[in-house]
This record gives sequence, structure tokens and C-alpha cells, in this order.
Amino acid sequence: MKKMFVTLLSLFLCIGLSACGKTTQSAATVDSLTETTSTSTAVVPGSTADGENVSIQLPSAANHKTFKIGILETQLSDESTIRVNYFRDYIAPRYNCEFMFSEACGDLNSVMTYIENAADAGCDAILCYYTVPANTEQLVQLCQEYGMLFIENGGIVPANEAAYKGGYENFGGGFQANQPATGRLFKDYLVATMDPADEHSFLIVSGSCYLGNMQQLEITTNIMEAIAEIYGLTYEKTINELITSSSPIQAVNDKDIEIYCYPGLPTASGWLEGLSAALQTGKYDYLLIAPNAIGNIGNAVSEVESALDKDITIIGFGTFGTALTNAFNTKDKFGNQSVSMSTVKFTSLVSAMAFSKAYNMLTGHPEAVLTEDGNTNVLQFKMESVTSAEQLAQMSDWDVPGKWVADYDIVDQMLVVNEPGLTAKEIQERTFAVNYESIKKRRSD
Amino acid sequence: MADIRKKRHEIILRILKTIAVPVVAWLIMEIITRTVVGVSVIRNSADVKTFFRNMVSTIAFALAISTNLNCGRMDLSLGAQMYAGTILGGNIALVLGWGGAGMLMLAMLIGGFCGLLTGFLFVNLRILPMVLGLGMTLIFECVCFMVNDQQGVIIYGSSGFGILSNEAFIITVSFALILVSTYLFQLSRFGYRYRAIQGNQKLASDAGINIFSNCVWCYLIGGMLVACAGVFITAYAGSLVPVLGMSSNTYVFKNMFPMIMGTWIGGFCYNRQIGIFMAAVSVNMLTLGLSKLGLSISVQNMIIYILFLLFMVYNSNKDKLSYWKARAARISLAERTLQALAEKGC
Amino acid sequence: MIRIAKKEKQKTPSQLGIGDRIEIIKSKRGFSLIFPLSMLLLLVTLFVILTGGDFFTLNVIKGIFNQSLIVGTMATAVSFIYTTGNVDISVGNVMGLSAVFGALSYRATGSMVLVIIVTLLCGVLFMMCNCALGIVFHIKSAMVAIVAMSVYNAFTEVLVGPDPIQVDYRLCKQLEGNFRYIAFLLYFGTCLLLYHKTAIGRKLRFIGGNALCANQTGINSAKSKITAYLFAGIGVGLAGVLQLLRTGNVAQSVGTGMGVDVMLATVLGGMSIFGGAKSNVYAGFIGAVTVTTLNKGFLMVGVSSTLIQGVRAIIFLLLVFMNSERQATLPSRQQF
Repeated sequence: MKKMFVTLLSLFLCIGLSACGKTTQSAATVDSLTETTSTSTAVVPGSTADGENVSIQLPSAANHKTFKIGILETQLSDESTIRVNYFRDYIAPRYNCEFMFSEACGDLNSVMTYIENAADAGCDAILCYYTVPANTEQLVQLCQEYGMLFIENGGIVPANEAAYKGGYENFGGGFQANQPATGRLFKDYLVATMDPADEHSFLIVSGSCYLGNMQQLEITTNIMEAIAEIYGLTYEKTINELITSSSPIQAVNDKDIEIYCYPGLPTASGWLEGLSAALQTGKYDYLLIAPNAIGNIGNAVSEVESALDKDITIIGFGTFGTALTNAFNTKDKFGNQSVSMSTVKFTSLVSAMAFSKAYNMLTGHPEAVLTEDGNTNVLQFKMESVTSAEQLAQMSDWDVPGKWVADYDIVDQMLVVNEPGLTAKEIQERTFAVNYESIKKRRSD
Repeated sequence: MADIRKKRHEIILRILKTIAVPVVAWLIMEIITRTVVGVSVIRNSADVKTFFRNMVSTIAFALAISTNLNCGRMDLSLGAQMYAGTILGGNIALVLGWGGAGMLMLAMLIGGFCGLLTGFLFVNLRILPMVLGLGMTLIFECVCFMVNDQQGVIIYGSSGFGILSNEAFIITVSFALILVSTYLFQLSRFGYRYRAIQGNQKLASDAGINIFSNCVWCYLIGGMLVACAGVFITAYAGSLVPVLGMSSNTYVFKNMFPMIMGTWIGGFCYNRQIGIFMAAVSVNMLTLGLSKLGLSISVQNMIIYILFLLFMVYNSNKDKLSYWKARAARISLAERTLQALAEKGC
Repeated sequence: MIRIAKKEKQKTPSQLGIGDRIEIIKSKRGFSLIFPLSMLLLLVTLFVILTGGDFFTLNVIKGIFNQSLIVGTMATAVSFIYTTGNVDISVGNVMGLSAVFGALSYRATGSMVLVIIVTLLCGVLFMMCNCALGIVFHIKSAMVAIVAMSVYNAFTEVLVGPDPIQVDYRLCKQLEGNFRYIAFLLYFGTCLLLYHKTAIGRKLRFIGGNALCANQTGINSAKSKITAYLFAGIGVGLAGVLQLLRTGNVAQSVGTGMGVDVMLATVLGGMSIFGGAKSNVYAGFIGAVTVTTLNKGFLMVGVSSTLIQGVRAIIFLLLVFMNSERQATLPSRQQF
């Protein structure tokens, strides 16, 4: 009894002491973060692509307090590791920032927990890779309570319009791939390689569209639209209904083109068997993949090709890495690349876009994230397509630590502190200007 | 002579009972797939390869689970051990250029080490096996994640790994697993001690059996088996990507059904390992058949788990069924006897 | 040859070694409360030092409590089940499915009162389903849980679809303030009373310690199990309500994996999942607070996101080891 009493008293003592502890450090609001920019430049050690430490002229407001930015990941993967390297080792030293990375936050509860923890840790902004449009406004409001900025990896859809048009001062908008451009990549490749007059049929791997995964929803929508445009067909159901089905579904259309949507997580038990079963019907000669699953299915597809003696063209979305490299370098039974085309993105560019939004707002330039009519904007980038092993080998070497695609030149061009009066539209033009040709030219110079 | 005939009859009956489940599973799925989608369960070489790979990975995993579960230790870290063994072993094999067989060997070695570590900790810390399993799952998953830039192991496109999809190799490995584990658990001294501990740990310990070393060996064997399973899982997908957040536990739960069914089938042939082999064939026939039907993954899983539940209901109550049957027979005999006596005027 | 065990001579205080002294401390009545609390205080102190005092603010302490509520409620609920020696890791999925039905009832009627009632009832219903399978068909609870996890998860996926089901977030925020604290404290207080001061708790602990002995003493295992699952169901339903109030919606992934988190919290709080006489109902909440403290502390200290899981596991195993009884033989329990 006595010991219990003592324990309880100690507990109350601690709670009491906490009230006497440091006062709540509410993260600075957007207004209070505005630092008067000085004309003088600060110099800190940095590093060049060669790895030498040299002094670099910083942006003129880099003598601000260290901005702390929380990076909220929905899953940890090789892509998230690239982001960590980029933010922590490349961006942080130069721009006087600190980054705090989350564990995998797969649901809204853990996302909210991270935001609360980030606020307690003194974060000024959150870059959120968890995108469920229905939750955007709620998360913006939560960050607003804690005085933090919120920037998400996504775009404007009806479910989150209220957030983008709601005039939230702490909301920096979204960043995502340009959908029409991505659709064009698929369409251009299909048009270039197949004759619509011939009979073709398509198996579309919609992945976790049925779970609301924004990136895969965008890619799958682009694929469906591309096919519709090529054949001039109309689907009986809406594209959204077809791709968000949790069961495999035929995309019935007025031109009787065989289009089959196959959902599911590539790592789920039975998924690969089901995909193989669908391919084994022999109906499909095009396999279009929205999730990053090229590395998971290559073997299964090549076995079906051998069994049916049928060539299946694989087009999909991938990330730079061993899986994609192996896929392009492996020949199938017919002597073709096992993957014919893959869309890729430069992680550093996407990260830089997100960072620029946060940095511009933190340095007192919220106008850089607003459209002309005053709503919060979505900054977009264009995916690139890879069609050969040689091209992949070349591009794989572009976005690596020490020689990022989004180097300081690119990042500086997106910051208002370096160019007062820089608008969101101009920033958008500059991100669109970072493409295969421009990078190739820069690398060869 | 009558005795020999009776024994022969019994043996044939036991063999028939042992192979009945996979045959019935195949028949049912064949009828369903032909009726619904007009295709066979196994149509071509791709299906054959898929079936064999899944079968051997199920056998290995189910054997691994049963190794500890039969002694009252539910090891939830087996999935993570599988990831660790396969990813680390696979990457070493890729670097050394040892191909599929080398990957299998190295994976089993590393998986065995992970199992050994878990067993060692269990024996020394004496933490509840489920709890230790959870802790070790978190640790192994973390380790796997840090290897190879979070890409796990990718064997697709690498030469020398085609052997892992070769049916003859897979059958050889399956039979080797069954033979070795049959010898270990049925015919060797280790198996004798293992069965004694399974009966009553305290009694076995008092009788002089070293329950601690036996336990460590069980964990080591479990680790090796799951790594073997992981290699064939990777062979199908072409890669194995590390996971976090205890997602690797799904492999343990998924393979409970073949394990428990295998133990039941093993009762017919007095060999748990053969029982697990039959159960693996049955469950994979079921899975392959369901994948042909175009159902969503969650519906397929629901069907499999409901069948698992129904099987558990039967398995937990089969003694009662035979009791009720025997009781009904006794009552019927008693009634007939009474009737006969009444007719005789007694 | 028959060996007669020698009667061990009782050691004098001066003859006691460190191991003996530790065993004596562990056998004290209050140890199961004091130890996990002490560890929690130690962790807090460590993080305070490492963060230069940033960890010791009212907001942080309040945040830890708020974030622990859902898992803490479920862990409190599930302690009734663990006490009887049963293991149920499907509580996360039960909570999720209950929350889904609650959200659906809001969509149909717009009434928050109905949401709370429906969620609570569903929690009780689904837990009683698990219980029924165990009692009627004599299936071990661990196996029932494995099946239940998958089945409930499938139902959740089918019912929710790609878009989360929304509940009025503003209303949830209003209720979140006092309602959840009152609801949790009421439930926790009731459980504390029932478990530690009434025959219900005593019976459950007796069954967990030795089910055969309990049966022969006249305690009906089946009835006690039903009672345990009933109280667990109320708690899981309440956790579903708290989940809804916190997030304002339910998605397909709601509750996935929480069953294992609850088990971790229970064990970290100092209770054995095999139940028995030394079980208690507060271990789960203490464990949930400890886990939340660890998560928050690691983040504030700056531990790498890829390493957090591993570091947490090591601390978890260490704490569990220090708190557990070292048996002469190896701990085991038949689970099927």
C-alpha cells in the first residue's frame, strides 16, 4: 500500500514538474517565420559534385533560424531512402534546415500521431507523402492548430477542393506528376509500337487503386484514357469505377476491345497467381502496370510467354534501381526486352519541388504557392519514359548522391529569396524545363 | 494369412486416406474452375512451375512452424527469419555468382543462424515464445531493410537462378526436406527426445533430456526451413522486398492451415512430414484454383480462412464425433438386444 | 534407483546472492505496478536529458496520453482475455470493423449517439463471435484469432471501398475533448474495480493459473470466458469510438496490425499473455503509454526512421526480460 502511494506521488510529481518545464514551443506561424531578408550573404561549407568541401554563397536569407521540416512517409522503400539522402545530406546543410523523417505511416491515425509528434519536436512544416484526398483538409487544419505548414504529395480532386480553395494560410498545396503528360507517354509509345487496326488486348494492373493510392490512380487513369484515345472508344462504366474495383473487372467498351483491370497488392498472397492465370488465357498481348511491380512480375510473365509461345509487351511505372535495370537487360523468349517501356521520375526533382514550396512559405513568400486567382496551387513535374537498357543505364546515373538532377542551381531557381517577385507560374515553368533533354545537355556540358 | 490380409487392407486404407485430401481438393477445384471459367486448375507449364514452387515453400514453412508449435512454442518470427535468410543469402549468392543452388544453401545457412539466435535468446531469457517472436520479428525486419539499399534481393534477370523453377530440382528438394525431417523427427535420437518434450517438458527434463539444446536445435531447423521456403517464393516473384511493421507475420498465419491439416493427415500414415506434404498439395491446389476464378484477393483469403475454420471445427471435435457415433451404435445395439429378449419372452 | 530430493536449507539474509535478492523483489506484491512505472519514468528521464528538456512539456505529456488512449483501451479490454490464458490478436480488426459499422450508421442516420451505440454493440458482437467459436467448437483462441483477423479484414475492405467513410470531423473534434477522457476513465475504473475487487477478476485469474483446478473448485470456465470476452468487447467497441473521434473517418486499413501492438503493450506493461494469478488490468495501459513514449522520444531525439523499429524491439525485449519470471523449464503453451 505504502509503495503504491509512493509510486503515485512520484507520478504526480513528474506531471507537476512538467507544468513547470519548458513552455510549449508552438511552432512558429507563417507570419512569425518571416525574416527580414538581408542583402549580405552568409557562407557555410558545402560540397560540390566532386565531393570537395568548398564555401558556397547561400541564398540571402539563409541566416534565418534553422527550419525544421517533417517528412511524412507512407511506406519506407528505396525511394524514401533516396529522399532521406537528398534532404539530409544535400539540402539541409546549404539551406540551414533540419529534416525529421517518419516511420511508415499507412493510416490516418499514425499520420496524425506523427504530425503531433513533429509539432512537439518543433517542426515548422510537414511534407506529406500520405495522400488520401478526403483527409487533406483535416490534416491542414491539424497542422494549422500546431502552427505548421502542410504540403502534400497530390493534386486537386473534388474530395480535397475545400482545402485548396479554403484560403488556408498554412497550406502550401500539392506536388505531383503532370497527368496529361504521363498519359501522353503511354499513348505515344502505344501509337508508335502498335497498329490500332490490328487486334490487341490489354491487361491493366491497377494495383492499389482500390485502396485509394493517388499515384497509381493517376497512372491507371492515364493508361485507360490513352487506350480510349487511340481507339476512340467509350467505356460502359466510368474509368474511376473500373480502376477502383477490388475484384478483377472487364472494361467493357463500345469497340469490344479486350481490356481487363486487375487490382491487388503485388505482395499479397495469390496476386501473382491470379495475374498469371489471367495472362494464361492467351487473350492479352499488352500488360500495363501502374504499381512499381516490374521487378515482381517479370519472371511470371516470361514463364507464361514460354508456355503459350506468345509475346507480351510490358509497359509500366518503375523507379531507378536493380529491378528496373534487370528487367530492361533481360531478353524474353522472343529476343525482346522483357520490359518495353517504363515511366520514371527523378526523386530529387520531386523532393526539391516539395522543399521549395515549404522554404518559400517559411521565408515569408506564400504568394509563390498561389495560383493567379489566389488559390493554393499544385506544382507538377513530368515523368520521363525509358525504352531501352542503354537509356536506362544513362539516366540511372543522373540522380545519385553527389550529382543530383535537382542540384543547387535548380533548387535556387525555385526560391523567391533568390529572385524576388518569382511567381508560382514561373516556378512551374522551371520544373517543367527539367526533362530528359535538358539534363542530358547539362551532363554533357 | 487373415492377419496379413487384414494388415494389407489396413495399409491400403491408410494410403488411400492419406492421398484422399489432395485428390479431393484437386477434383473439387477442377470441377469449379471448369464450370465457372472453363479452364483446368493446371493448364500448362507455367502453372506446373507455379504449383511446384508454391508447394515446396508451403512444405518448408509448414514444417518450420510445426517444429516449434508442437512443443507449445508459437514462433512469430519465422516470417522475418525467412526474409533475413533469403535477402542476405540471396545477395551473397549474387555477389559470389553461385546461382540458385548457392542461394538456397546460403539462405538456409543464414536462416539457420537467425533461428539459432532466436533459440539461444529464448533459452537464456525465458521470455514467452510469442513475445520473443514479436521482438525478433522487429529486429530481423530492421536488419533486412538496411541491406542492399532497401531493395531486398532481386534475382530476376540474373543467370543461374533458373534452377529454382526447375520441376525436377523442386521435387528433389521437397523429397529431401521430407526425408531429412522424417529421419530427424521420427527415427533419430533427437526426434525421440523431441517427442518426449512434446509430451511433457518437465517429465522429459527430469528424465535427463536436455530440453534447452533440443529447443535451440528446433529453432535452428525452423530457421533453415523458412529460408528454404523464402528462396522458392523469391524464385517465383523474381525478387523479395523487405517489409517493416511486422508484416512478415502474414506468412506464419498463412501457413498455419497446411500445417494443422498436415498434422491431421499425418495421423493416417504415422508420418507428420508426409501429412504436411499432402496438405501443401491440397492447399496449393485450392489457391491455384481460386486464382483462376477472377475473385478479389480478400475474397480468396476469406474463402481459404473459412475453410480453415471449418477444418478446425472438425479437428477439434472429431473425437466427439466418433464418441457420438459409438454411443449411437451402443444404443442401437442395446435396443436390438432388448427387442430380441422381449421376443424370446425374457 | 530412487532419488530423494534434498530439502533446500533456507538461506540467511547474509547468504543471499544478487539473483536471490532480485527474485525476492520480483515476488513482492506491488512489483507488477512499480516496475513498469519505474521503467516508464526512467525512459521519460532519459528522453528529457537527450532532448535538453524539450520532452518534458505539458503538451508532450498530454500528447502521449492522447495517443495511448486507443491502444491503451484495447489493451485494458484484452487483459480480461489474456488473464484466462487465451490469446486474441484479432482485436485490432474487430475494432476496425466496429468503427466501420459505426461510420456506416452515421452515414445512414447522421446521429453520433447512434454511432457510439452501434460501435460498442459491434465490438461486443464480434468478440462474442470469437468467444463462441472457442466455447462451442472448442477451438483454441489463437487459431480463432488468426481466422478472425483475415475474415474481419476482408469485410472491412468490402464495406469501405477505395474512399474512407467520413464522419463529421468537427463534431468529432468537439466530442474528442472531454468525452473520450470521461469514457476511458469510466471504462478503466470499472475494469479496475471488477478485475481487482470482485469475484469476476478472481475467477478469471484462477482459470488462467490452473483451469483444471478452477473447474474442480466449481468455477465454470465457459461462463467466465464469456464474461471476459464481454468486457473485452465493450473495451474494443469503445476503442472503435475513440478511433472514430480521433480521425473522423475509417479507411480500409483501420485497425490492421493493432492486435499485435496491443499484445506488445500488454507485455511491456508487465503482464504475461499466458495469464494467471499475477495478471492485472492496468498493465496494458502502462505499456501503451510506454510504447508511445518510446515512439515520441525516438523521433524527438532523431533516431533514424529505419532504425527506430530495431531499437524499440531491443528495449522491448530488455524490459520484458527484466519483468518476467525466469522459469526452471521453458515457457510453452499448446496453441492448437
